[in-house]
Amino acid sequence: MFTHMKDIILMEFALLRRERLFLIISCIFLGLAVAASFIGWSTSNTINHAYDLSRPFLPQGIHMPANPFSHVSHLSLQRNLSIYFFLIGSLLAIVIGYTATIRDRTSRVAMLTMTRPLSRLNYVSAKAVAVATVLALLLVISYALTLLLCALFPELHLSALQIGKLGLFYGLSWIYLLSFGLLGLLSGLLARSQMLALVIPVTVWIVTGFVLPQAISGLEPTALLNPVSITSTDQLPSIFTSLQAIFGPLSFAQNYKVAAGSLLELGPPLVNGTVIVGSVFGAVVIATIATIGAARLYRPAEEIV
Amino acid sequence: MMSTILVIARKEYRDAWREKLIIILVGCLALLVVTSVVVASQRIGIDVKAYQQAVVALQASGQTSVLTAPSYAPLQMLRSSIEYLEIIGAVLAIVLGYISIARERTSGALKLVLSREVTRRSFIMGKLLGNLAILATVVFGFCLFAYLSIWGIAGLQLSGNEIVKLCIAGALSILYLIIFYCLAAILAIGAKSLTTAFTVALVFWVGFVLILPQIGDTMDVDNQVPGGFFTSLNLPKAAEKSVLMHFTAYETFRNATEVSSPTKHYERASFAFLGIKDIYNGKNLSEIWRDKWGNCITLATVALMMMGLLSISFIRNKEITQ
Repeated sequence: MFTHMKDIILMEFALLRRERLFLIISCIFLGLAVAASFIGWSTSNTINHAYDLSRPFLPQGIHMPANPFSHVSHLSLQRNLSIYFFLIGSLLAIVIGYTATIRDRTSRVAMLTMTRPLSRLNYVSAKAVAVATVLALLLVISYALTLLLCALFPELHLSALQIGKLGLFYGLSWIYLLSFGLLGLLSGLLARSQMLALVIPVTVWIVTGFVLPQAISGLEPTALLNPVSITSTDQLPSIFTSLQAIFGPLSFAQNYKVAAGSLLELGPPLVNGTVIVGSVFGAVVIATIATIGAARLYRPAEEIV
Repeated sequence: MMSTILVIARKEYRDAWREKLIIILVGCLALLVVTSVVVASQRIGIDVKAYQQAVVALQASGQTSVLTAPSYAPLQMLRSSIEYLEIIGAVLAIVLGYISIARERTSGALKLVLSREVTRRSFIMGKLLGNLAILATVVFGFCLFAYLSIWGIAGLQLSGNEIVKLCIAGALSILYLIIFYCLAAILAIGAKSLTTAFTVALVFWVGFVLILPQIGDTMDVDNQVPGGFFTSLNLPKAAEKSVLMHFTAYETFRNATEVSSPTKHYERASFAFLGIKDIYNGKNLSEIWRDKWGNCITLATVALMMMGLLSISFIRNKEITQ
């Protein structure tokens, strides 16, 4: 049984390596991880320079407030990572998960595989392990690239503690992306059409990434992509506080960004840390349970359009 | 030829409304737009009521000239709606573009249609016209709803000038959405696998709609501190401009990143016409046009180019009927 599972996992790696689309999205994903460092570094430099240039323009007698970027931590310059992981990382995870199952269904390989002494649960588990491994591998490469850039540029140097925190952020990101990878896998297993299999997880992504966060934070959709707005501690009107109590735990994309902001030393320490981190973990637990359930419902012989 | 185009357009329009997925997407978009407009209308409605009550109370005490009537900018409440059209409207347009070509490729009906006196040109024109009509129905349906909400819930009547501005924003929305319709349709025509075409369209969507504007936005010096960097320093606007003059290369790069996305052109133009950007609030049409014609023309040019590309790729692609 384990040999067959191992074969499926290895086969998945081999097939993904040949998928041009997967390679392109992965390159964009890694490219954006590098861009995040560059953007953080150049913005920080610009702000410091702008602060110095602003000094002579202040009306006489007015006290110059402290430079908001003078004591900014080097780790916080990586703040855009969470936004890019949320944007392209989620899509990449969906594509990896979706491709893993839809390919076997359209090519009818799934029927052939099931003639072997292998249960549906083992088949689906092997696919899930492959998806989780590929995502982990991509995140490890991204982590290594970020650390390399931090080592090369003095303005980005990180302390040992910060390297650990960055590692924790990558761990959290893996959990977050895995929930979308499993969702894509699940959708690819059960959806009746290829397009639906892709549209369903994308819709879940839009709802959890834009609709719910707006309902609980009152932020406009585009402000949800700015790490500074997300971690802002402005007082919310009471309506949003009530909505936060109801939808807060469900809004795991927003919770991921808030937790990421805290790990990357951008925002304040987490107030409802257990709820926020629990929500991200909860999403992957639900996705795992749903995938196990889907294995029972999976019909490899079913037609797909 | 014209009647053929109209027949195909009518068929396209009817077929689209029979697609469950399109109904669901339009429903979701409608729900978001309606919620954001209703919430914003209520907020303004509360302000209007508070002002009216204060006037009545003052009149009762014999004071009439104490309060000056506040000015409201009702079109500003459409900010979230425009952002939803930007993000989810574009997904709807992509699904429309994908379905309109995928339906023909998978059913084999195209072969049959082209065996009649229908040219490829009139066929694709009909499809474009039909889908333009679908997008126009959705967009102007939202505009009508916004008008009625502002009137009914906030208790404010839009002036003729504001109605024209709303219609211009509607027209810009259609131009913006047709770009994504054409993108998905072109990919569905050219790609060997339809799902690959759809996935690539989604990658373009993430890139153009979300990533490029996000990069520009997060590089904005003023966006680095909640409430604004220059505001936190109590710096006057003129001084802010002088400081930014020292960062020409940085600002050029930032602006270039933003304007490489049609989303930013759409956002800049529609935010100006609707007065969402404060400096355009209350300005007349010619003043706004003087500032934003570049964005409008760019958007229109990209939309026309995409429509042209769609026609060419459909006419030249012989494999689509096989």
